[in-house]
Amino acid sequence: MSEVDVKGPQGGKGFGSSNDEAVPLLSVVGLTVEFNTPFGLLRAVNGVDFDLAEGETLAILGESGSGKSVCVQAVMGIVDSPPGRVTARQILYRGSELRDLSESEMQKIRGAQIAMVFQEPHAALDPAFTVGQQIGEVLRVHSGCSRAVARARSKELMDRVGIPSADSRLDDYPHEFSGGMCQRVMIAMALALEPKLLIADEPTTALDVTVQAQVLELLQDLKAETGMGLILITHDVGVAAEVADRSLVMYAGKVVESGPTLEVFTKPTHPYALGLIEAIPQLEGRLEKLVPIKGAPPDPRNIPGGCAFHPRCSRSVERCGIEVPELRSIADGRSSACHYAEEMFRGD
Amino acid sequence: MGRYWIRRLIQSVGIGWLVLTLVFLTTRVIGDPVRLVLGIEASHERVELTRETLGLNRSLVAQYADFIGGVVRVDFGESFWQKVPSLPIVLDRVPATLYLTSVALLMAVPLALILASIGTLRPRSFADRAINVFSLGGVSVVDFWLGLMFIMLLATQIDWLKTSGYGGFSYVLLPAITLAFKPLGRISQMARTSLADEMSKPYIRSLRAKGLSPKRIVFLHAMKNASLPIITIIGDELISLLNGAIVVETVFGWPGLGQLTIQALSRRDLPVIEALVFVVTVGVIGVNLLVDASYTYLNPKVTFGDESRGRRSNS
Amino acid sequence: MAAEATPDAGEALEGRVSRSMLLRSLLLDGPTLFAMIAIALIVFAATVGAEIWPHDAYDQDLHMRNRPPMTPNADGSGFPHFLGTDPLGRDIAARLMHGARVSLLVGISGVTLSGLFGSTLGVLAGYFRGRTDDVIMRLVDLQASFPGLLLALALLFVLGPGFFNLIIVLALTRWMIYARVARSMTLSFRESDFVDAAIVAGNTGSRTIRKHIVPNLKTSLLVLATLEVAAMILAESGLSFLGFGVQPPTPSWGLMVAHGRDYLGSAWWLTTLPGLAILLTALSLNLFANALGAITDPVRRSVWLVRASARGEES
Repeated sequence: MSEVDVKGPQGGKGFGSSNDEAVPLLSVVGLTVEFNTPFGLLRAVNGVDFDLAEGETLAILGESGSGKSVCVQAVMGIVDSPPGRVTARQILYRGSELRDLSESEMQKIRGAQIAMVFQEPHAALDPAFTVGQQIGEVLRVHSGCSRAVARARSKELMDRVGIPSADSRLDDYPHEFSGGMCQRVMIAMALALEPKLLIADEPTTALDVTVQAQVLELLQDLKAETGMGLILITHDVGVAAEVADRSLVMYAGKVVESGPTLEVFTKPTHPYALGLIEAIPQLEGRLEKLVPIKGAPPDPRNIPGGCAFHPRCSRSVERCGIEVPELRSIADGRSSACHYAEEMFRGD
Repeated sequence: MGRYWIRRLIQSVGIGWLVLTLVFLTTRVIGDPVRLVLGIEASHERVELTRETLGLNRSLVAQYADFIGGVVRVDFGESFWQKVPSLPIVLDRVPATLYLTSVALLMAVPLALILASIGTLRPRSFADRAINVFSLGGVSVVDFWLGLMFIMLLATQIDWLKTSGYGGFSYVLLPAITLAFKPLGRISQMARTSLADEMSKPYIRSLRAKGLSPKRIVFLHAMKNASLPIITIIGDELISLLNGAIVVETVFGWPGLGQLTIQALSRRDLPVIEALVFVVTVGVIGVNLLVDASYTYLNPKVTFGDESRGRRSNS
Repeated sequence: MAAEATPDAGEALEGRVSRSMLLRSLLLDGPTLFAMIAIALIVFAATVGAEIWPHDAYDQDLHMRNRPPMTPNADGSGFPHFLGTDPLGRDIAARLMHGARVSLLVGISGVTLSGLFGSTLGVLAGYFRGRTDDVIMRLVDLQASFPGLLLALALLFVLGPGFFNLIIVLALTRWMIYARVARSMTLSFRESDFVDAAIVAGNTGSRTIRKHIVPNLKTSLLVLATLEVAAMILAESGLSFLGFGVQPPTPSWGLMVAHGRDYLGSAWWLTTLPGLAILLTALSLNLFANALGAITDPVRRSVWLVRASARGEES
């Protein structure tokens, strides 16, 4: 793929171990993230488990405040630690515990093995440096290559992500790019060292619909080329349906439903997931009234007892307000956290 | 953009002219300039004689024409005290003040920026506390008293530290430290606030995700983005230093513009005072232009065409 | 301790904040408490203390020159000179208290004058915008970028020394900050709905300003004024030190420092004590203004109250 070989450091604690084929790329168990605010303890992520296999695309769906962004930030280790506190049973990347690594070792992984792309591409780039400098920075910091080499590779990357006149645009500043182009720059930056895992946090939310499609297509192409894993965070069910192999639905800091995307969307086993799908406007067939989920997501400081979704759930009974439903396996590869998940699965 | 700078230059000349006119009006019109010069007790004949000699009995317009003519020829008349042209007297003192203020800035600015950076990297550590102490101290401690305390406590113990006069390190150290105190407080506080603002912006998260070290993020990225307000306040302090210099030079007997100001005022040497105000005005305008010019380099988003109102106060 | 009076984080969040709650939060904060006590002491000294103190601030006694603190009275009776005597044999403590009176007088009247002048201009600029705004802010920028001390010295030179002139000059050099703050607040209030409603209801310009805009400015300007009193006191002491401020025999802390300068080695209390007085006054005012600012700003208020309640629970 590249003329210039600037791969990031691949050695280290048991990475790339070839013995076990089935070692998931990422394995997270019992992730909890709490924030110590002047107004009390805020639990943004409450016991989340998920896995990602090599080359798989996982979508994490949820509204704002569901904890989806904080989840992946915790995996990357970029949650601000004095107010925040990350606890987990395990966060394994290619079989090795990330939290055992020192901060400087983590810094070697970020950007090189695990990369991230953010929402609001303009705001996510440093306005004081040119795009070329910023892409080049990732290359130089991780591989120690020279400026000239970094510049050449940056140009290649910009070409690859579809930015026209890459050579002259290397010296432009982020504010001179459109939103879609900025996002491509971020993708170029993320891919510079051929990471094994790319996390995209709402990459298309701030973009026009047509640009959205282009960016998604770009991501899929790159994924096909490199075989990297992709975690896509979004609140848009359509986006998840388009690109994700598996989907995870989060609500109020917990996973409420997970499984292969197609199955989750055709036969959801959690009322919230069902609500999300029913809320999608139908463009074909009979035009029906939009069906939103009534109510609003809970304030993270004040999560309802029992099942967090029960105040908004049309199926809730008394049990739902008292007993917290555990995430459990409903069928092969599918889990759900609703007391009546099995019934929903059977189609009652 | 070039047109903008030409416009600025013309504006600056206009402002300079305005200031000089104000000076002229204040000295010739408010209060009797002759009495100003001779003092209240001078006899009537002496007053009239001086008035004629100085040409102050002519019409205001004629005097003004003379005055402006003089300025254009860069001639401010002779010093009443020393009977030599006044502008060279003033200009002679400029290097000494520049020397003193440069040393003071060289002490204050790097230290302020380092403290602010450490404070950003390690919040609530000693650096943040130091910044609070310095900035509170800067607005509560009087420079002349501080200087005298230094003289009293340090210089009398340490022979090598000189308390008066012009010279090398041993002469400039104490006055420079005294002068640097206030800017240190203000710049470090402003830098800390600006850096903290930058650190809360979204792009910082991207930088962390890139695997950059916190040091690199703060010293390279945050600092560059925060540089605009920081440069503004450094520019402010450069001019505030002139205020401080008046006092510090007097306390330490440093032969610069500040000391000259007090001397000229005590001796009622009007031409020197006027020349002094002129030189200071030129300096202030120059610093402002310099600061604005550095904006474009530091923050590519800033292009001039609209007037940007910085927050400046040097009183 | 009454439960109602302890600042409650929950209540603070919900905006139910009582006066007693605010007051207690002030008392629970170490620096703020210190500042309030200090200010109270200084005001007491300036008003009552200066009158009841057994020594006179103006009585010279050349046999008792430069006596150290705790020197007994000349005739061996009554009150000793707690803080010593000055080069003319006058009691320092008494002079410090009268100096407090002078400082407070200058500070408060100077701030009142500059505050009224500056805020008025600021409100006018913010409310009417357009040309008015341009002209006023141009003036502000112009004066703000010129060294204030130099300007003050030049004005005092022309106007002559004297208490009244001093206050006017100080006010003239520091009005700009009120103008800036008042203007920006007026601009934001002007856009708010209740002003629009008032205009629709038929209020003319001046009435709208008076009834709707001014009350909202009061608290912020008050905080600013507190800070400015400290700045004024520092400025006055500087001018007096240089000889251009308060004239002898009226005691001023700056003047006292100047007089003590010749005796740095032999009579340390002459320069140290007045300087400490200035330091204490300015420091307390700054600390208090800081607390006041935290209380009056709705954004900072909740954090302040929560911290106070935490401290309250510890005590």
